[in-house]
Parts: sequence; C-alpha cells; structure tokens
Amino acid sequence: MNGQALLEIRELGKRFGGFAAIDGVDLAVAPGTIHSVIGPNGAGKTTFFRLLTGILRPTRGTIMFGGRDITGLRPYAVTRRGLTQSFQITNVFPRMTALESVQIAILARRKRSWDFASLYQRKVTGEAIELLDQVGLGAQATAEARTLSHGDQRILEVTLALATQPRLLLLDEPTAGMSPFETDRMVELVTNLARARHLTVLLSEHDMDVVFGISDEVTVLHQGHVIARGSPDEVQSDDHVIDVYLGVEA
Amino acid sequence: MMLSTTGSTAPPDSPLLDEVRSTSAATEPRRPRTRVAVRFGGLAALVAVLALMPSTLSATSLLNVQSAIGLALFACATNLLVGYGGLVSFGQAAFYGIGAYTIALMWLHWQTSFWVGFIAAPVVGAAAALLVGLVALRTRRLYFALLTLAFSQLFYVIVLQQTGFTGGANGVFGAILPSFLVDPNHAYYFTLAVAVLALLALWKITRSPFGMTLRAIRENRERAEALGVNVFAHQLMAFVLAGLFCALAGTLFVVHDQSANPDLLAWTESGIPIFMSVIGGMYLFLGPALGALIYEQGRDVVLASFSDWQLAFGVMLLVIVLFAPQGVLGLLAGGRDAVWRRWRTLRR
Repeated sequence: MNGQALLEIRELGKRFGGFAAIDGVDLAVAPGTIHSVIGPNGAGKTTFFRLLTGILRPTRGTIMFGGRDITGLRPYAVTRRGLTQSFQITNVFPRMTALESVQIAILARRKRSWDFASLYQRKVTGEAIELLDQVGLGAQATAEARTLSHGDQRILEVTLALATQPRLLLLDEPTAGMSPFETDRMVELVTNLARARHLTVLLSEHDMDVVFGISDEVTVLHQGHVIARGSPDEVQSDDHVIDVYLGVEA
Repeated sequence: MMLSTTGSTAPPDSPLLDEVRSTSAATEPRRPRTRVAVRFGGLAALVAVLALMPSTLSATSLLNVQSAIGLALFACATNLLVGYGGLVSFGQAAFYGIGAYTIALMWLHWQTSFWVGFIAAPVVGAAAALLVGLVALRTRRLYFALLTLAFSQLFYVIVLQQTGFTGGANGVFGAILPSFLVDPNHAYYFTLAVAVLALLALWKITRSPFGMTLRAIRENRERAEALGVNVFAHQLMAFVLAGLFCALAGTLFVVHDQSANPDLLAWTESGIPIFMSVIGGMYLFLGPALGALIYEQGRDVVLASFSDWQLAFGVMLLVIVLFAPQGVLGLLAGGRDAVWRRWRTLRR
C-alpha cells in the first residue's frame, strides 16, 4: 500500500525552540481517498498542514508526493506539483470579485501570470464561470469576495484551491464557523468533488459527524504524535482515542 | 479536466445557466459602447488640450506643465508599486535620479549623444532596481519602506561624495541636450510623447494577467502563493518595471532642466510621487497623474499669495487622507458613475 501512496510522510518533525509541535509523524494517503486528521486543540494539526504546503520548513523527516521529494519546497512550488491547500481561516482576496479570484488561480496554473500585455484573463472567464457555477457561486461571480456571506467565502476558498486542479486537496477545517446548513453544503461539495474528479482529499476537522461520515481513513494526532489510525469504525472504538479526545467531546 | 457535479446535471437551457451566461457577459470588461467612447474621447481630448498648450501658454507656464507631465510619469510608475502592488517604496527617487544622471554622466565623461543616454537610462534604472529589489523585497511593510529609503540614501551619498565623477553637490549641467530639444516647444512635445507612450505601456501592464496577479498579491500574498504564484518573483518584476519607468521620468527632468543634481535622489524627492498618488487617488490608473498636476500647479497658486507652500500642502494631504482616501480622481470617478447611472435610468 505504501508503494502506491500519493502522499507519503516519514518521520516528520517540527520544533519551535524546545517545543516539538510535530514529533515523528508517519502518514500515507492512498489516491482517491478521503483521509482525515483529527485531534484535540493544540495537537499540531495546523502545524502539520503548514509543513505539507511549505509554509513551514520541517526540522526533520521527508514528504514524498507522487513519488517525488517535496520537503522544503516553497509554497507556490508545492502547489505547482499538485498539492493545494484551502485555509482554516477565511483567506480570500477581499477586494477582488469571485470571478477575478478564480481567474488568478487559473492564470497561475496555466503559467500566464507573466503576461504583461495580453488580456489572457478573458480567455479563462468561461472556465472560471463554469467552476463557480458548479460550486453554486455562479450568481455571485461579480461580487467582491468581502461582500460574500461567511459560508460563501468558505466555498470560494475551496473553489480557488480547485481551480489549481490539484491531485491532492488539503482542507484545513473546511466547516469551521459554519451553520449546520452551510456545513451540509460543504460536505456535499467535498464528497461530490472527490468522487467526480477522483480527487484525493486530506482534511482536518472538528466536527466528528463530518469526519466519520465522509472519511475512508482517519489519523488521530495528540501532542505531535500519531496515537491511532484506521477506518472510522476502528478509530471510534480505540480506547486511547476515547480517553484523550472523543470522551472529552461527548 | 472539468469536474462534473451539481451544475452539469442541469440541462443546458436551464434558467440557472442562462443566469450564469448573463453574469459572464456582464463580467467581461466590455462596457456599453457609448461609455467606452466617452472614456476614450475624454482621454483623447485631454491629450489634445495638452498638445495645444505651446500655442496658448507663456514660456514659463509651458515649462511648468512640462514639469508636471514628467512628474506624472514618475508618480504613475511609483504607483505601480504603491497602489497596485501594495509595496510602499520610499526610495523611488534613486531611480529617478539614476535616470537623469545616466544621461548627464555619459555626456560628461564619454561625450555620448543625448539619445544614447536616453536609451541607456531606463536600462540602468531597471538594473539598479533589480539589485535593490533582490534585497529589499526579502522584507515586508515598514521594513521594506525603510530598506528602500536606506538604498536611496546610499545612492544619494555616493552621488554627493564622488565629486570627481559626479560633480558632487554642484551636479552636472551644460549643453546636454541635442539642438532639436533646445527649442522649448520641441522639448515639450518630446516630453508629452514619451510620457503618453510610457503611460500607455504602464496602463497595459496594470490590465494584463501580470497586473491582475500583482493586485491579488496586494490583497493577500499568502493566498496568492498557495495558488501557485511565485510572489517574490512577481514583486521583483514589478520593482524592476517601476525602476525602469522612474528612470525614464528622470530623463524627462534632464529635458526640462538640462542638468542633473543630487537633490533628485534625496529622500524628500521619494515622498513626492507617493503624495501625488494619495492626492490623485492610488487605485485609479491616472490618479497619480492628476495628483502631479495638482501638486505642480497648486504650488504656484499657493506661492503667489502665501509663502509657506509646504504647510498648505500638508493640510491638503491631511484633508484628503481623512475625508477622501480614494483621492481626487476617485471622487470624480464616483461622481461620474452616479451621473451615468442617473442618465441610464432617465433614458429607460
């Protein structure tokens, strides 16, 4: 199974001074699956994701993606190789329209962001509109991102990541701060996408209903270590996990 | 590879898709024809008025307008960084000065013609900007502003102290200009032509995918980087382009003054294009150009009746920052849009 993994992480570690935020994490994500990383606050989930996307540099370990070592690459270079992140906090271009934002992502993917004198962005309008329509934001295409509702901004956030046509999509708490209705919409979007595009998804999430509902595999982080991994059923019945995490929630 | 989820299940003639199509049509930057005509007609009229200046103005006033045109280019080039890139550089005078000194020093030491210097100046300005940008762009915000300021002071001190090469505090002056440009009208038309062509090029850049990406970086650099944009490389390119066009503006100073002096590189000179951008409006392409005009003409008006121009200018800057942060052109554009909407509702 390890031989075919799309993402394979070995002995990953990150120290901040004397504090080991991530301490020897191994993880493999099989192509076409939805893999969740869960854990209590401060378990190191966000740090872990920041290591994968190149925002932070690991102090040890390797990250293999599609058979290539991407450890220590800059964020834009990681994205170019097909590993794209959607952020936990809403992270859009406030004063650009939804359409322009998606155009930016497509321009970057097509390596057209270096055009100085063309109007190439008009050539990708169709693709951008189609994508916005598919996620249900077609009617808001000309609205500035800052004027969208929180739920719509979160959807736009994921749409931007999709526009880079990733092979692996990292979703950091995609339903954070969402209403139950918005959460359902996001869950439907993610599962539909994963199926339709044969997309591999790695996500961190607080909502356990979401995690156990959509994941093929779950990894539990605690104090920078992996304390359990397996199918949702296996993880839910793991005594150690119930002790440190699930028991507290329930 | 397009994903096929919720949207594509709708039949192609569904109202939803129609709505999307109409949205897409409205999104295309194609405005109604009359509006495009009004806009370009206005710009053509502006250039025509400027072209008629030599036959209507006195020699002194013409020189003032010529100076304002050169500074308009300086301000718009700086605004590529400040307004579009969100990069507040406090050292653009260095490149302005480098542009002027390239012509002056080549003439002084190697007796090259003005035209050779004129071609070389933007290249030298861009090269200098590449070196400064490579270092300064490693920092952000205030530190970036301070580093650009430090670099411009470095250039300033070099020019001031290498007396043997640069003429020190006296600067370089003499018969730098070719006979063609000694004629005041020719000098004016040359300045106008260079500025209009350079502004067209800058305008094209701001509307291109590169300009759009630069704006996205200004809005949220972390997000842009995560979408696969090499933020540092794009900012460096913007810095080099700004250096190139600032140096070009510096050559227009030589056309105006027939000299180059160290004050061109002084830190106060770096503030001027930023003030002009704030006054005119840094989120509209021609905002800084209008700011340059207001700054240059306003100074003469104020000086005629009131000795402390800097004080009056400071008050004006304060009023604009507090009450009209979109600048004078921003205010005018807002008013024009309101009138336009009114006109369209009346016609219906």
